[in-house]
Amino acid sequence: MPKLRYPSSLSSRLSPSSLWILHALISHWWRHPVQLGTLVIGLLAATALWSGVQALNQQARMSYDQAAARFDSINQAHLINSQQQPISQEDYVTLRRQGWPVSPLIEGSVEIKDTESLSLNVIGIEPLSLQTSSQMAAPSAGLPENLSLNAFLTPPWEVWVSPRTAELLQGLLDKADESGFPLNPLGEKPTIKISPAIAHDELITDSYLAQYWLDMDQQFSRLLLLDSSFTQPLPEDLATRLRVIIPQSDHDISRLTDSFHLNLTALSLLAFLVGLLMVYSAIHLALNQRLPLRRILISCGVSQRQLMTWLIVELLLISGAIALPGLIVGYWIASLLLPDLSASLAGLYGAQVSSELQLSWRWWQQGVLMAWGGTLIAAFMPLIQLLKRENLQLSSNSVSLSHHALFKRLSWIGMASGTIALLIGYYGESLFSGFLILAFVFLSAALLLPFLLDKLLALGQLAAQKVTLQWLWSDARLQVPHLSVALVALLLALSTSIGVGGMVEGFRNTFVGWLDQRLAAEVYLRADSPAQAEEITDWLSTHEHVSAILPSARADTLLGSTPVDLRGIAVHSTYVDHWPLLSSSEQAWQQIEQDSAVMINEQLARQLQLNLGDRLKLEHSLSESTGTDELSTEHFTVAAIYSDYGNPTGQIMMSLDTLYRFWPEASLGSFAIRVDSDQISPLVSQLRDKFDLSDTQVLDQQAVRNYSIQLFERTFAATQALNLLVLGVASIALFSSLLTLSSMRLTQVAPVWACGVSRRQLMVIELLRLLLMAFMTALIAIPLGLIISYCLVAIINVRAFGWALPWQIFPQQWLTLTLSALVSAFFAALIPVLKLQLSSPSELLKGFRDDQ
Amino acid sequence: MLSATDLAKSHRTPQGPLSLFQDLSLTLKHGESVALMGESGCGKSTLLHILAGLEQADQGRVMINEQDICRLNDSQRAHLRRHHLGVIFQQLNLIPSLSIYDNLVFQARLANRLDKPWLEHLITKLDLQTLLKRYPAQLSGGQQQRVAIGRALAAKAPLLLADEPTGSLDEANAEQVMSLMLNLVKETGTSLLMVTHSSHLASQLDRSLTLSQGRLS
Repeated sequence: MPKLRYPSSLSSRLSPSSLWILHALISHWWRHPVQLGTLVIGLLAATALWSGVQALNQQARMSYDQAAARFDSINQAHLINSQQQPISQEDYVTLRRQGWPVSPLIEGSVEIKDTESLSLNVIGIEPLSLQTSSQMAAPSAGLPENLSLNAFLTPPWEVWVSPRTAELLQGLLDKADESGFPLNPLGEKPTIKISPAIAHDELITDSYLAQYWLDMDQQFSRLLLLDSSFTQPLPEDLATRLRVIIPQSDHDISRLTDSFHLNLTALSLLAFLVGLLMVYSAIHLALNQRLPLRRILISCGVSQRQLMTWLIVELLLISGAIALPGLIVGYWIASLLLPDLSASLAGLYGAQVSSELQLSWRWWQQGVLMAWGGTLIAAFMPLIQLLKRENLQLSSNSVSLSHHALFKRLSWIGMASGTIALLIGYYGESLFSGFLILAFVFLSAALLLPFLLDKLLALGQLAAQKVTLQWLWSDARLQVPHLSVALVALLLALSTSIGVGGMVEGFRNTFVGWLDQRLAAEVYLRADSPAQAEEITDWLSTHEHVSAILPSARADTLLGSTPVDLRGIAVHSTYVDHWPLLSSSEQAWQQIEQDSAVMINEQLARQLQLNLGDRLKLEHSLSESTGTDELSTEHFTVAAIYSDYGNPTGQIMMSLDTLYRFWPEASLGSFAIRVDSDQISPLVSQLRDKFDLSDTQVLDQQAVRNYSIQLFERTFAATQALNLLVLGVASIALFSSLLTLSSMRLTQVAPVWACGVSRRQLMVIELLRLLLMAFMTALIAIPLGLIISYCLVAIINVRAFGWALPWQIFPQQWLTLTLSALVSAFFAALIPVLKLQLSSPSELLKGFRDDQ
Repeated sequence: MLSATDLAKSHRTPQGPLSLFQDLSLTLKHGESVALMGESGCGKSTLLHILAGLEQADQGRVMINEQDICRLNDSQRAHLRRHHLGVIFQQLNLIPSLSIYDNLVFQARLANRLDKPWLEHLITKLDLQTLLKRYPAQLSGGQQQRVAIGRALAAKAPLLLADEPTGSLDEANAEQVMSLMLNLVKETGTSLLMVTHSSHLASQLDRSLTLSQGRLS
């Protein structure tokens, strides 16, 4: 007799002959298409929603990287001229000689003739000084590492652009006479070079060519400080002219927007989780239904380990096949949401995100890995349970009582999770800890739900008088273990809807109220130049219907090391009566009018922990009064804190006179014009015609309001769309769970039918039972949604955006969501219930023959 | 009590309709117990299901309590079952979500006919006192069948239809369950029609009928 060899390695377990095991396993899915559908939809939804949001995040990050490659003043330490003038080449040379790691930068734009808005941003760099530091902040500005310095620095010079801009530039250079695009100083066309890392409409070249094009001979826009840790003070003779600007971490675009992306990622993770709950449900059921097959396979000589291996292979094959369509759907979702996301990021942070999706292969790779990882996570517990089961055990002997014990255990863990959430809420301070609170709240709710439902249903059973009602409650209780996964998905989706919906609705109310206060004037105008502003003011002052002309101005300064935006306004009853103050000292407006006080926005107050009465030390130049470049400081008292939604930066507001007195270089801002309400349209038309102002330069109150509200809506469009998708996935989860359970229901329903309850009654009870469970889940979702809404409003928003919102509740929204849960449950139950009604008696009688 | 006249039933098969029985008639008097025997697949269970109003006959009529069950709709048949019939199957008779006590009283309460002293008596007779708070999944097959008998009798249904009630039990358990059922049926004067393969069990009833080739003999 030949000696037997026992397979031990993975390869032997996966030998071609053992493919028959896979064949037998996979055959299950063809006989249970609904289950396969559940698995496919769950995995598809999970992959699509996750990868869709990741596509948005990746696109945004790509845009931020491109922005960083522009030597963005927000992100890069640099030196500027205090007088907002260019820096002379002489000063640059002085600094270099004293060992300063600086590199010059020339920035400006070249207008293209005969086009209204087309211009190219020219960035001139000096690659030699850029390469002298080992700590180059923007190493190549989007240029390749193997840049040929000789070609870059010598005629005809190289011009680096994005692929799209290259075509445009080539056309412009070919027809330089018509386009007016400048050639190089020798009258030649520079060499066009392409780098995909460079932003569109941007052009990077040698500083010499840029100086020539921008007419900045021997001058630079800024000097990049390549080592931000360089602490040497500026030479005395330069200290009056130059100022070092160190970027504040709070002003880093990617850091600011990180909170936004974290928000989206959290929501997509939730959607992924809801999808995985469906996957878990399908895998769990499929494994249980294949217990007889397992017994046969084991009887035929298949080892437990071999079976496990093939089960995992089977799941990986299925999830791998679903990953690709999932990614395509994700791409489609991302392309739908991207325009709104771009608008949100631009509105909230001033971050420019391309509205075209460009995805790297890594995104596809990550999507497939997430699908596989998710499937394995979802399959983990069912596979472990299968491993623990006796070899020939066909079904679990678990009874409802064992579920009660399990629910109790889960509820303890749930309560522990809730306690952890409370502790993090008490001790945590970061944005991440805010999201951790949400995660633990969700976990706690998910673990507590089956226990709570079980207890509520038990109470209902106790209270029920009629025997059919008693059965309805008890049977609902029996269904909790089977439906708990789908109900948890529904709970998460509903509570997220209540939480996010409440936050958005509360924000909308606050924002609209705030807008109405801020937009007290009837018309807003922005002049092209101070001269035009003066001309317009003169004209307006003679206008019979204009009651007030309220100019504003702005300047930049530092508060400590924090750059702040200074605003000067004409103190007028328009502002005194309407400006949205969160808190103010007595006589705040009088103090502001008298030079001694300022108002600050909420963001600045939170960022620097400033309160009413605090003294602020602000730097200003003495050039106007002394004719020198000396700097002086002035102290102001914080007289009021105002809400300033949508503004990512700190802002200080003072009277216009004060601003001009200390910051004479302040640039003119917009005008607010008070005019009789029936004269708004005529005035706007007159201003446009008389001063040749564009639509965007003169706006009436309603137009500004509409624009702001439109921006607001777009800001939350992506969040709300994702929210809706999660709710949709949860409804599908409920539907598929019911459909897969419907065949198992026969054993539970048949005895009741045999006892004399008609099928119509059974159908009604079946429907009522599910509506009851959905209603209870919705009831539990309301307090959970309120907790989530509170976390978003009082914790996440404050940490992410720097402003707080009043926490509001919207019972009408709860009602709508509860109704939508009931409608979802109704439609989810419709097919299984109709199936029960239409099933032939012989099918019901099968309930007495086997346990399905 | 029960009379069936000219019953016919066929099943659809890929090869065409397969007739189970035709022109089949039977009667069951008040308090009478009858065994229905026959080979596997001859249609005994189907006949019992038709008599219980659980399946529809192709033709013929079934009179229970002077009502033709074949002319009733689903709701009316359910109503008739609730008040006049007790049905016991081979297994899985009980409602898994309800306790044993609730299972016992289920049909009686459904028919608004719960007689507590009678129920107490049944519980004692069937030796279910210690099991009342348990759930069906916690009971053995024999215990479950005793509960099913108890439920059928608790409703004081005048007619009991049993489809191999001891078919899934071992001999000792089957004997015990059968003897309990027959004693209680006799005690209450309930009519019994029981499908069985066992001639030993059939011999304990008043008479036996055999279904063979679509005919009763």
